[in-house]
Amino acid sequence: MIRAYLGGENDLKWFIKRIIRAVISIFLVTAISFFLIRLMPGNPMDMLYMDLIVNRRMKPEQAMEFIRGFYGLAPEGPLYVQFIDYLMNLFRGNLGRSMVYTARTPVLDLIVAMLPWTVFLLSISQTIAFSIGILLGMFLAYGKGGKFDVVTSSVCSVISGIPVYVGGALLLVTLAINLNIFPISGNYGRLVTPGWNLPFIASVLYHAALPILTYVILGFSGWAITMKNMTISVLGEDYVLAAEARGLKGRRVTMAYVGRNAILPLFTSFAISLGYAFGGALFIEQLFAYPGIGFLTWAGLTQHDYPIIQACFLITTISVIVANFVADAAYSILDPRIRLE
Amino acid sequence: MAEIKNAKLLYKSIYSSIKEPLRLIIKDKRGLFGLGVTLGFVFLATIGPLLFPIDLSVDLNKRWRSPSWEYPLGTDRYGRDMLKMVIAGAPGVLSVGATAAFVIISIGVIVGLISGLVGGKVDTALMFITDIALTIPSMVLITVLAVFIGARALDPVTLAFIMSVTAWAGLARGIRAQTLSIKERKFVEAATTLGLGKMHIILRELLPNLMNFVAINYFWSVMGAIMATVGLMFLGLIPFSQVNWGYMLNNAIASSGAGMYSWARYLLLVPVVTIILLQTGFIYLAAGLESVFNPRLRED
Repeated sequence: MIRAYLGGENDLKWFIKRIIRAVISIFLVTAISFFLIRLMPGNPMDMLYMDLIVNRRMKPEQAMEFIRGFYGLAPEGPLYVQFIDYLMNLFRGNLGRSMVYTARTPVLDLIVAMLPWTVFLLSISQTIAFSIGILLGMFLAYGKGGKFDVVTSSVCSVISGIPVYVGGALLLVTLAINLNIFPISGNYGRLVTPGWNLPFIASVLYHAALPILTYVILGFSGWAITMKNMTISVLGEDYVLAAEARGLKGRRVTMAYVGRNAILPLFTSFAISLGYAFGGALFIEQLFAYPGIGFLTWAGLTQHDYPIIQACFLITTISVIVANFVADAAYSILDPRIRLE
Repeated sequence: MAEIKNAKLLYKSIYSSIKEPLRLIIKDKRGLFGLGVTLGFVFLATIGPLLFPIDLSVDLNKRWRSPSWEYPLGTDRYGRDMLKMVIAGAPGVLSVGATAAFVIISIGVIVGLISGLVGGKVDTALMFITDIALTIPSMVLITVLAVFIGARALDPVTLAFIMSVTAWAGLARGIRAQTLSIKERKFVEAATTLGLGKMHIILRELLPNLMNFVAINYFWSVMGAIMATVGLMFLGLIPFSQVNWGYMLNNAIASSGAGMYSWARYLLLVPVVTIILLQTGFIYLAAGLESVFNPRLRED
């Protein structure tokens, strides 16, 4: 089926262009994460090297070996060789070891343990926010100019601009700390055993409720406004008029003609919003002490745990870039018009 | 005498160019609100700290005071004046916001203009870079950059540059699209036919027509940069000044620990209301400007 859609030469070019862009983006962020650490004056690697030699009386070779174990590469030889070493390590899944976490846990293990929690929160909350926003937006567009529309739209425009840390702090203090309805921190209670048992699942959902609520409340309003504008512009299209003139039922026109066409462009925005959501995860997971990738990033940043910062930065940016690419591709299959640009 | 006359003329020309937009903004209730709030914050940030110097000494006898004439917004858990803390936090974030927005606008306009005017391979290359900047999640990049560069020294200007690292991309795309459409208009064609130079066309024909778009985006950019800055302060990643709004938020959450003080809710409310007020002011001012530049949006 995809083959049929990829028929034309133009289309193939379009896809190749997108793939090249994604690959270059990934290469770029990888280079940033490498050079940030290597080129900073007084960079952590040199500091560690000096510390090992001066304070722990290691021999230079020993110190280099030690650093190699830490970062997966050592600060010797020309920079480009180090960079290639770094890339090779990444491909092998060697992200270095944590400097702070006990027993110098390999960073990859930490990521594998924490990433699922972030994906869990984001996938549920973004889907809910998107769905509510879409429905509300269409509803507002149909009642355009009415009292409900005017009030809701201006409330939405204010909410959509509230930074996550402000909204999250408000919800945390009122719902969790003062009213004690939700747990304050963590991803599940101490008394349950992880696994496919009911108490564990219930505890996980209970702990995830407030972070998800924060994402949803702050996220849906933006979608509602965008969807409202899209719907209004689609309502003016000839094919909607034609469908109505053909005497099709209002409900059918709403869903099949207006709704579908208005949602289409929002798919790309949805992928872009995932990027923002990852940025938001930094705040929300820190706020609710939720052990996901955002929390890990924050912990790494405050403790100057450079291998962790590097790895979290890479994982986050690469997943957003890939999500963008997938959304672009999916969108172009759903709506071939955009490949003609 | 001639100088005075010139000054008068200058004043008159500035006045007449501001008068009409100002009238339109003030006529729109939301625009007036936005303008008032924005000017209020600018006032707070510039003169406020001089009028109300902050005293950071800890005085536990004065803590948890409710609002009074002496402490209009009450005191925090160390007995410090909340209003003065809000004022002390204003210059830092506003200067970062204003500078960052300036950098964002400059890069965005230059890239967008070149892309739209030159076209061809230059356009393809610039838009390729722009698209890459758009796909990299900005908040994560900003945070990491701020911490790494901030390990050395972090002044408002450096921070402003960090804030604009990818934020220019959206604007550049917009400017390019606008340039492409304005380029085709009759008055540009007329200027070209008259043999007026390229610089004339860019400065006299294109830029004035892009100004509305730029002005609105300026305020959006200021807001974005301020919110990101406060966010970094909230995470405790950039201290930058002893008292800031992010710190106040954090402090309020810490004070509310173990449900001890219901007063903490109020402590939280002060920075939250400050931030939302500033943000709403900017949104409304931008909306007011939009109606100035786009007559179709006006209600009358």
